[in-house]
Order: sequence, then C-alpha cells, then structure tokens
Amino acid sequence: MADDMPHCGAVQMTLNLPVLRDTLLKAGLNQAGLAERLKVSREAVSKWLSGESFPQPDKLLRIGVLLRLTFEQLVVKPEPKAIPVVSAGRRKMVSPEALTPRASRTSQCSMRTTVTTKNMVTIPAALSRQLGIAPGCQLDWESVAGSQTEIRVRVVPKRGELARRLMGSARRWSPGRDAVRELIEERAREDQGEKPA
Amino acid sequence: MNYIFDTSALLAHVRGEPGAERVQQLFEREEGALLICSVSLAELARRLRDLGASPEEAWTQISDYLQAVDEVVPVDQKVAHESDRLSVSATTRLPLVDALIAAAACTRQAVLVHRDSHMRGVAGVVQQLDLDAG
Repeated sequence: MADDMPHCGAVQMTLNLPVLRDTLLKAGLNQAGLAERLKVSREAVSKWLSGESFPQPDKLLRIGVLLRLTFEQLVVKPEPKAIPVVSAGRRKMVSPEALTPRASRTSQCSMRTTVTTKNMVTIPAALSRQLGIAPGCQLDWESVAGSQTEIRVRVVPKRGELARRLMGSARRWSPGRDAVRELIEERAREDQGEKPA
Repeated sequence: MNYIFDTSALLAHVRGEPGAERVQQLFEREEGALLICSVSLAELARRLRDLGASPEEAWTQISDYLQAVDEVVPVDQKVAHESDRLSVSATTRLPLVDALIAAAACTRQAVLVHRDSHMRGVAGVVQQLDLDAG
C-alpha cells in the first residue's frame, strides 16, 4: 500500500507544514527519523513535508500519535472566502495575559494563506466573523519565542472599549473607601513640610 | 491634543469615582495621544494593593491600562529638571510625585488630567484638566 496520495477532491486538505516542521524540530526528529519511526520511505516523508503529497489516513494517524498532534493541528482545510488585511498597525504594549492561549489557537478556522509581494496576507472569513475583525481593526503581531515558524496575532480592542471594561473594575477592593482622596493625602504626607519662603 | 493622566485620574477611572466618565470620554477620542508617567504605574500599583489587590492583580490592571494608552513617559533627566523648575514656580507646595508627573506633561506638551488639588499650584504653567472643577 502506498504511503501517500495525491491532492485531489473538492476539499483539498494539506498538511499544516509550519506546525509539523516545528513539532518535528522540537521532538528532535528529522525526515529520516520520522520515516524510520513510521516505517515508510524517506522519499514519502520528503514529499509530505514539501507539500507534494498527502499521507494515507493510517499514516496521518500515526504521525498524530507520534507527535501528539490532533487532526485539526495536522491538517489544513482551506476556506474558499477570505478578506484582505487592510491594517496591521500595532500598539506599543501588550499584556501577556491578554494573548490568546496556545490551546485555542488550533481552532476550526485554520487555513493556509500566501503572503503577497506587498507583504499582505488574508484572514479566513469565518475567523473574521467570529472575532469581529473589520476594516480598520488593529492586529498585534508577534513571533512566538523559540519558534522559527509561529506568529501570534491578537485583535486589539478599540481604546474606548477597553477602557470601558476597565472603568470601575477596581471597585471590588474596599468599595467604601475614597481612593483618590487617600492618594492625595499620601502624597502630602510623603512631602511633609512647607514651601520655603 | 495629547493628554497625560495623573494617578488620581486613573484611580478615579478604575474605581468608578467622580471624574471617571470624563476620563472615559478621553479614552474614546480617536485623535491625540494618551500618556501615563512611569511614576504613576508604581503609585497606582501601591494604591491598588493598599485597597486589597494582590501584586499580581494590581499589575494586571496596570497592564490592561497600558494597552489603552500610547506611551509611558519615563522620568529622565529632562523630566527631572522640569520638575524642579515647576516646584520653584509653584504657588503652593507641590509634592515630588506631582512635580514629576506635571513635568512629564510639560515635556510632552500634554494636558495634565487630574483630581489632585496640589496641581492647582502650577495651573499657570501646566495646561491641565481638573476633574474636580466640573
């Protein structure tokens, strides 16, 4: 039985090569090592990793088990509709807590896009709908530490929306106290004395 | 027009105290930069901890605010020099923290947004928006 099959069919699935390559790197496996572990030819692995062919289902399953990757992480199903990114400006500060957790990044909305000569990429339409991404929306882009292939993208909420969520959020601590008055009193205490004549 | 938030303005906003809505309006403006002096970060963290927040909770709040502003103005030599100039020219005693924050506003030509009556001592030299003035 062949180890791979050509791309065909209306829904063309491809391996998620950036994820696969990165995972192999982290696992300390090269193409030969992967071929040996899966008991397939090195040529077959080479074709998978170059995108020339797609593994048979049983081989795909074994790759997933070996590298502890789910089907959704291993396979990319392109979506027919995508919208262009019109702006990718960034804010200066990013809260680590606000970044999307790794687990949720392997979502149903994965697809492969091609960077244009103007360094533009597309966003899956379903993802745009899900996250409310519209023209003018700002995205934070940052490389994932230790990875040569991963980029983390975060939708930056509008300043006013973010502030609205923060307004009054510290009321849960000592709600009866007048925090501003206490601040001003503390400043005065720390600066005791009168202005010299 | 750029604005710099004194700690008192940030505290009013995060606590929902008087002045919070006016600060919110500034956050909702599309134009102009919003600034915070680095001293305010330490001061706000201390105040939040004093109210009962853990250090992690306090800095998470601050981290969230940093996403909503454009720049944290550091206290450098220029700001230090300007703060001393303001202290000399103030009509009433100006605590050091107030002087540093007011100086940060001057160096960035930003309007100082505050609820601290001490700042009125430099009202003639620092453009300001006093949230208590209505």
